Amino acid sequence: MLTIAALLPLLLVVPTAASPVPAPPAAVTAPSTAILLDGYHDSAGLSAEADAIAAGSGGTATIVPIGTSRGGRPLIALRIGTPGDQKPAILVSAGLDGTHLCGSEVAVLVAKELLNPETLAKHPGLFDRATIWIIPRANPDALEATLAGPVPQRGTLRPVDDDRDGAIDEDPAKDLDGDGVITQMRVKNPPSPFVATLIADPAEARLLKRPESGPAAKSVDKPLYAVFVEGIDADGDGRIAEDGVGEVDLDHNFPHRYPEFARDAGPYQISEPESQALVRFVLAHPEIVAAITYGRHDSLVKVPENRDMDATGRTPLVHLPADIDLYQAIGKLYRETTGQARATGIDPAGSFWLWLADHRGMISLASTVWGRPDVPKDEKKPEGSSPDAKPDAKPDPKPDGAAPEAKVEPKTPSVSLGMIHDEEADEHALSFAGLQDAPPKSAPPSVPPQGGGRAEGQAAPPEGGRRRGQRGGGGGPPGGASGGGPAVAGSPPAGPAGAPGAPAASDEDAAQWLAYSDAVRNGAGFIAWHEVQHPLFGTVEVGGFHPLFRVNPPASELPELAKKQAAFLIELIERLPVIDVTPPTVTKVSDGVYRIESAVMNAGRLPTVDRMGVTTRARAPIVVRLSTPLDRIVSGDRVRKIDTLDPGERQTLEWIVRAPADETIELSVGNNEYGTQRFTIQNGVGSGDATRGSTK
Amino acid sequence: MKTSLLSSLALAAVCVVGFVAAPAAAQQQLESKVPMAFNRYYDYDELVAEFRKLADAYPEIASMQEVSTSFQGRKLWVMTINNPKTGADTAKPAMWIDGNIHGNEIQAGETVLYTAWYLLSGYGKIPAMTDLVDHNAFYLMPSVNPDGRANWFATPNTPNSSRGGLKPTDNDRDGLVDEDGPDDLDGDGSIGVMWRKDPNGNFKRSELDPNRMEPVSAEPLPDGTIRRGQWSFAGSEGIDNDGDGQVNEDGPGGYDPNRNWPSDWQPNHVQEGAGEYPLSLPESQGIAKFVLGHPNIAASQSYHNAGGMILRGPGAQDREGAYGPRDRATYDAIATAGEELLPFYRKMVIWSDLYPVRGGFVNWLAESLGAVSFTNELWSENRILQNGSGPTDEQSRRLGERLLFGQTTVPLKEFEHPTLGTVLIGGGTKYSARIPPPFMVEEEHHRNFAFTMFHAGQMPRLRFAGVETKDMGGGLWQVDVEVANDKLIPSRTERAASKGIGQPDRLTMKGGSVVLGGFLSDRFDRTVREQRYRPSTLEVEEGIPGRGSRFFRFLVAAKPGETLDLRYVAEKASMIETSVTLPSPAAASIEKPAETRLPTMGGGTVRSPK
Repeated sequence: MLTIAALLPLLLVVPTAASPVPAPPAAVTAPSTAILLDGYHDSAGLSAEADAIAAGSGGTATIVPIGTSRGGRPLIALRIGTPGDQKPAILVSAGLDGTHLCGSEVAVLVAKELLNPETLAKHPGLFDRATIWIIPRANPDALEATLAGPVPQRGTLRPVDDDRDGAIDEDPAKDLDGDGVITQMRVKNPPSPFVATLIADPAEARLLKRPESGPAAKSVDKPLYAVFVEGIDADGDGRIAEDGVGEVDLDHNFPHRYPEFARDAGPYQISEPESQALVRFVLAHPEIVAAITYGRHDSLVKVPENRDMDATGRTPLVHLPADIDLYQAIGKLYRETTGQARATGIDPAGSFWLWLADHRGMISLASTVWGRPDVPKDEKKPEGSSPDAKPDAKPDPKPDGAAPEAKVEPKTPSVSLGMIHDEEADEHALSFAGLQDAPPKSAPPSVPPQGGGRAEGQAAPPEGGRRRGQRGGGGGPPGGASGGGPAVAGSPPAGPAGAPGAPAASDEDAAQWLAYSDAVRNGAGFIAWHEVQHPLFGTVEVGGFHPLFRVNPPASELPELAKKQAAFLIELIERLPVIDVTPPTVTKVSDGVYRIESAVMNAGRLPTVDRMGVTTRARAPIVVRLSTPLDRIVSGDRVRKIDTLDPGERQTLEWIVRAPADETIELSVGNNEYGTQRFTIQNGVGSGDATRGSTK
Repeated sequence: MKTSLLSSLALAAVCVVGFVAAPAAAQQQLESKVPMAFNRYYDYDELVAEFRKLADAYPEIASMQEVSTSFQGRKLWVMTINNPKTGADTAKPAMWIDGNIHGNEIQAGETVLYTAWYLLSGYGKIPAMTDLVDHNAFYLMPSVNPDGRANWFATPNTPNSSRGGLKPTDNDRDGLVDEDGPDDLDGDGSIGVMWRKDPNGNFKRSELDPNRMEPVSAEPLPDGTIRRGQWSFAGSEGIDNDGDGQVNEDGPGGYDPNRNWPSDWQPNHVQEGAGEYPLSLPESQGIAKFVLGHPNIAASQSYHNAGGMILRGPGAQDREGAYGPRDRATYDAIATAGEELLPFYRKMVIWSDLYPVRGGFVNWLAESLGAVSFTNELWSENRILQNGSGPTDEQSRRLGERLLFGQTTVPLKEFEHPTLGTVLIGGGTKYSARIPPPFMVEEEHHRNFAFTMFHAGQMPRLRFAGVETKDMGGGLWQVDVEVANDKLIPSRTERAASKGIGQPDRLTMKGGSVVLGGFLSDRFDRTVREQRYRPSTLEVEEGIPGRGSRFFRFLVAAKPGETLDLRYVAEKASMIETSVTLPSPAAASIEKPAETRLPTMGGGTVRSPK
């Protein structure tokens, strides 16, 4: 466990001559940022937890090393199950993104929950149905860096010359106010060539918004602020904090819709020791039939419905249309089991879970584990809010903020830095701090629009906006690009944002997060704007959302979240396919000629392989073999491959063979995912006792 | 009058052509420290041994390094050819030249060997070779697929088999790997094709040549009789080893190493043979590490066979955007020169003129790394008649008999097949179709080598073409700089510039105090496009165009008599430096031509021609 003191020694804002003035809307008490992380584990702590779980499991759980991070930290998988790999497995992965701390915590707690004797009593034989593999911490170096602060580290520590100036990691974000956390910096009337584009939102003065413009605008407000990530221009190139430590974002490093040339995508697909370890693990375990990845992506609260294919025309952007019903059903099950009502809508291009779905052909799911909770009604207490509040437990019947998210593709991911809707802020710097998946000026909906006839853009949607290192010709003022529409939705969503009659905040989601911070987190989620002296701009204001606030719940809520995730896993396991083979019967056709009949059926509630899995050919078919030599099989295939069986689907198996009366014939049905069932047929009589075993 | 004038002009032209053409026909033979035969083929170990001999004989400019180990444990070697006296290889533009990524495309390996042999033997003797080696570096890899090559030589094969690598793969998805490959049933050392005896067959044996099968027309005879042959095609020589009813459906390996590279890599359901993920093969991993560690690679050639093609990307229609108009012009200029050097070869685009390829090696080098890259498909049957037309079946038979003495054909003979009954087995040997007869192969090597050297010779070579200073008064000087590139390939391709590949070029001014730096669109441009930050180091994303110049302007606060140093650095060109001394009397002056130092050329000072 981390203590406040050990984790962030510099967390308090030290009042200095330069930054004595609290920002105007300082109604909330001074932020105590470490409260956000109190109770979270560091890398060694997570390892110790995993070790303890394995040690106390009586052999059901084991720790399996799967690689080493760039920084030399062990990468581990926790295996939960009975011995033998001849049964399906489910993979739970977490912590690819070093700022998604709760995913790693919950993954470990899920293991604990599954091994809980109560769970086993309620679900006997659970581990005979399936093996559960948990990779709790795919990117330990980043997790450590995030906890060490002040810069949240999303990706790996590969040194990357983000701004392509020949110097590496030379202009990172800087904790100007010494509060141990990197937030944002707003500059009033910035000097040329920087351009103000934002004003304070009249509905919620802590937030910024783009002023109305165009013929429909009711008024024309002059933009006042430019917003940057908290930092200086250490390398004098006119850009703020554009080349920080590392990094390669593991969820941009996988081959499906790999965002080539994005500065955080790595030099090529699967370039990192961490992503390589995941790939090696997955390829070594073909028995994995389904996967859930805890991180910044969601495919369960809002199931991706995009039906478009990528540039090749053969792989979907997310899911094949033929699989969407299946994923909808699983999403419904997830929402009912976990109660999670909100999540982000970030494009999964290049992510691990999308690779599992579309290249490895397994049922692959993504969960943020936690979404924005409802603000308790009439309980807005700035201080002493109850830690027992369970805002995630019962969402509004008609959730205000969730409504637009559930129905409308959000223009801006709700995990982004809500107030930075500003092209001037360099997205290189933004993305690290704000968990912002795409630059504001091209913030994509949950999947990029299908650009008809576009040459390559589809394969790499973020590339255009991301690669800002380029300054061809050197003419344009760095960071002075303009254009792009406002990232805030044009029409404010209806809903009770504040007092009746009050104007709705331009970014309703951000406003709700603020309300939650105020009501439940003692205001720690938002650092009030306060003045700081800046070497380039003079007096600026630093403040904004704590970069980890909107991703990571209070540690006290983690066990409950894990309970729900474990419950969902159990629901999945109980729905796994069951390969039911009818014991063969033999009837004599004539002397020495016999008819053998059997059938194979999926008695589970999920298909053995979904349609994408069939398309990829990466998943094993069910192989049906008869031992009779080909030249004595009068009718029927000696080897038959069944690509998939839908729930309840039955395929009849029938042969006519010529066989001596005393010959033993073997029928085997199965594969490495579901095991192989073998039947022996002797003296013309089928023996019903199936024996399970592996194919040679 | 007119006519006679024209004819005398024509006559003169003929004379001129004859005069010019004469020296080319009388090329002197090249003496080498390592005599080497190029009328034969070398298996993988022999090929490496020949390279080793060259490296040992020319240690001052050649070295070999191991970059990968193949799946079966063979070492993959890169030979670096570079004159260290003119600079480290990594400080010069480099050309990557490889061959034989498809194990059966063997002559590609000897073409790379010939390249090494000619460059090393010609260095110091043939000025063109000396110039190439002094200004550039070469990275040569004779076989990207040593397992495939070794297997092709060592075991019975067809012209098309042993193409991929040999990592066992479950092609038929039955849970078993490599369990049903072709078999040399008749034990003649060759995998032929099988023709099955079939009363309803659609083939018959040719009356002129019993070793040839002729299709039987489906058109009935005038009296309505349906014509039948006696044979039908039954695939490659082999049996149903795994008893699943299919023949030869899961042979050795089962993937294509040239679909495993990170540019537009797509999984097997999109691109057959892609492998599990980009760079999943041990061979590719080591090569990728080498290539990524050498951003000075400005050009590449990957030899394949066959068809007589000079291919460039893209490998898929949806990647057309990766080749902008400026890059296309560069590729076209080089390939057009190649069509002249390589009779009966044509310049082509991979996806539209051959077939779609995703994850190809040259695509990676061109589209992800910004190197101007070609793939030559060596050998075309059109060369056998030497008139550019392909031989008819009848000509092929005669030439096979009279020119090749029947060595590329195995006569059809009957064989009792365990499941197919009576079959005929025979056909072309593995040396037929895709590989030139040995007596012609040296010419193939030389012409392709010559084209590739033309390509290499077009890698960017930069010079300061002009540095003009102008006293603006008040201690302020205007310094206009022209950087020229006399070669076809720009210092940064359009692709590199548009995707921000690697580092931009940089022009750095040292001395005085740089008040302003920026770009002029041409030499007559009167206003500068300013680089507002760090103006003493101009970042030149677009690089220096092929056969062109780029113009820069600095305003410098400096004292009269002060020396200003200029340096132009590019990843894919040698660095150049020059300096200019401001005139002592404060009067406008023009330095022309500028003094250009090429420190990588042994520190000698070169006067740039203007």
